[in-house]
Amino acid sequence: MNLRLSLGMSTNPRTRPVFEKKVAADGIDLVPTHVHVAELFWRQLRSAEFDVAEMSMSTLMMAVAQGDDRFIGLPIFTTRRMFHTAMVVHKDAGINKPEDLKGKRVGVPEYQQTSALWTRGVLKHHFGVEDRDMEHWMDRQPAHSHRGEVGFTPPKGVIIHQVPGDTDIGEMLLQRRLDAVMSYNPAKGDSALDRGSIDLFNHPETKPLFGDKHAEALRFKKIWDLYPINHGMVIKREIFEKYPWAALNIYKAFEKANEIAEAQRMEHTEYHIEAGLLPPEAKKAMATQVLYHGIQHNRKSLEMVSQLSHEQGLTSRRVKLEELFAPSTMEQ
Amino acid sequence: MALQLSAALASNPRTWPIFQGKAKGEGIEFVSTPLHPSEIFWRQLRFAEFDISEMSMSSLMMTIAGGDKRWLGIPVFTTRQMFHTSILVRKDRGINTPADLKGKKVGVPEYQQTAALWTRGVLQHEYGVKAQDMEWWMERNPDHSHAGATGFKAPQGVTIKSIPNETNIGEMMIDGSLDAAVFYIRGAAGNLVDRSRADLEKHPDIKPLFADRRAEGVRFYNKTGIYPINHGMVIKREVAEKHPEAAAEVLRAFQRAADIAEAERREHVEYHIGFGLLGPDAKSALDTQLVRHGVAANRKVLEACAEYSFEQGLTPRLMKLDELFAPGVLNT
Repeated sequence: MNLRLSLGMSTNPRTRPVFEKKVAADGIDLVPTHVHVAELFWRQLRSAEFDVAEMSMSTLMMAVAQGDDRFIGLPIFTTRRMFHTAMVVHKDAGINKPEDLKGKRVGVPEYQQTSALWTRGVLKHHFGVEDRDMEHWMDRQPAHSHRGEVGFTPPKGVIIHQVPGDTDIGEMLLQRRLDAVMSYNPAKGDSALDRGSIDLFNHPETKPLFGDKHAEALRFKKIWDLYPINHGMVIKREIFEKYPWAALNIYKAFEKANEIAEAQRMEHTEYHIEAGLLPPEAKKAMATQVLYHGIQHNRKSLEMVSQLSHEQGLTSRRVKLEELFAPSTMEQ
Repeated sequence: MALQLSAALASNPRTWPIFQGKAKGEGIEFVSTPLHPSEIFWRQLRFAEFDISEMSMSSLMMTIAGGDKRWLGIPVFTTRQMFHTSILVRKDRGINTPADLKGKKVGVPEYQQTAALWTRGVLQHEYGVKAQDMEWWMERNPDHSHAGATGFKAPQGVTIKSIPNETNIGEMMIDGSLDAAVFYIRGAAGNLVDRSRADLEKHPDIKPLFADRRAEGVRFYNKTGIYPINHGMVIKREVAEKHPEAAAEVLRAFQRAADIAEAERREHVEYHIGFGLLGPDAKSALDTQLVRHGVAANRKVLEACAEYSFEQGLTPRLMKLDELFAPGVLNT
């Protein structure tokens, strides 16, 4: 009889084959639930609801550093992004380049979230804007935040204010009580955590900090040759210890799902290539695999999360990858 | 209770949402079978097994012209291709341009298939090579052909020979008894209709007629604005007459499926854009919707198909679109 494991994760091309049962983990019936990740992490940290779940890398490191050993990581990384390019500023805030953020009030949904960790890391290492150079305003309320579950004390000199319960960072930016916002994710009624619903990305009073995201991505890659990871996967330690084979079996299922996504990308874009909307170079770029699971392919990105986490005072020490992931998956 | 419709479809990004039950119509429910198109058409034309199915546009025109009243069309076009760019030729026959095909022996899986209709139409209209200028060798035998099922006779002046059952286009291309192949189908287990198995694409004696297929497809598309359709959808007339709303609901379900495919394409390329492998031009090209269902959006390509069909003697007269499609979906 197969093991039956609940699985909480977001929906994207690399998880869809699991939701759709196109791939299975040997010996395991995965019962997947789609949950908005912000809500998922909170539910998982608070009450460990799912046997297997997508998990914020930053929060996982904090939990492990604090001795929370309920979860063990699986090197499955279905989502990533150039997070810093999503920064939005108010047009009247006088911010035209990253350096102008010094002395400004910056909103963030959750200070410790991995996308904010990456954004601050890039601001510091690429543009010389340190965490203490900005005044941070955090949106999520203690009862509904990851911070509420895995707390930390801001390093000396870093100011983190709590956004009052009757407003949110979107509203505050438009009222000019904030100058910029990072990691903004307007609530669409699918998360129990995020409150603001204003579309700051298409608002006449705001603009992106990086007007040319493509150019910024290329610049970033020259400095840090990595694609920032925000989420990994975790399995409950008690399950892993009882069924150690489950870790690699689940990993392999997601590897297969990733292969399906690779093939589907080509099928999805076939007509645009054939009809010439895309030039031949684009076809070549499209055929390039950019997302890999496993430690080997992602070591640089993971170690950077660990470094930034420590630098930013989220963890009291640099967490080693061996502390985070199931030993059997370290060679992958 | 919802009307259950048995459905035979090829699997591609625009039909996946139907198979998965993500795209639905009101009051109808699909019981779907994924099948190779060659087999769908033969099973439908010969045994009328499914309530709705993909259908060769060419065969649909021929059956309706021939007075076969079993089917009505629905303007759903999930597959297209620049068919003429797939012509393969033997390297030792001095065929370097389309005009060199005159006087040559050309293999074709099925003379009347839509891919072959488009190929001949383009050869005639773009390159002045008519069907009569070549000697045709057809692979499917009468028991397993659409011709057998639709009672097709060769048009005047056109020689169509039948490839003996013990051989096939692939073998005849390799042993030199054919000079060229139109729309070569390498049959595989699960395709009951096509017998060729050789991988001609990689064979040292064989080359594509158009060395740069993509460039030829793009040239044709930019000149004509036509992205050839090969399959439409049919519904059994008796079902459409008994349930007059069914055809429109089928169309609506496939429109929803196409919308999902549009959104999924964007998700599938998100990382390539985010990571800078694709630039802003590629992004805006990929945001362009290329495939649309409905009669109005496809009038030009459908009328070209009807014209070629008549010109090539497949239909005895020029078919009008209102003869082909169900009344409830004509004004779409």
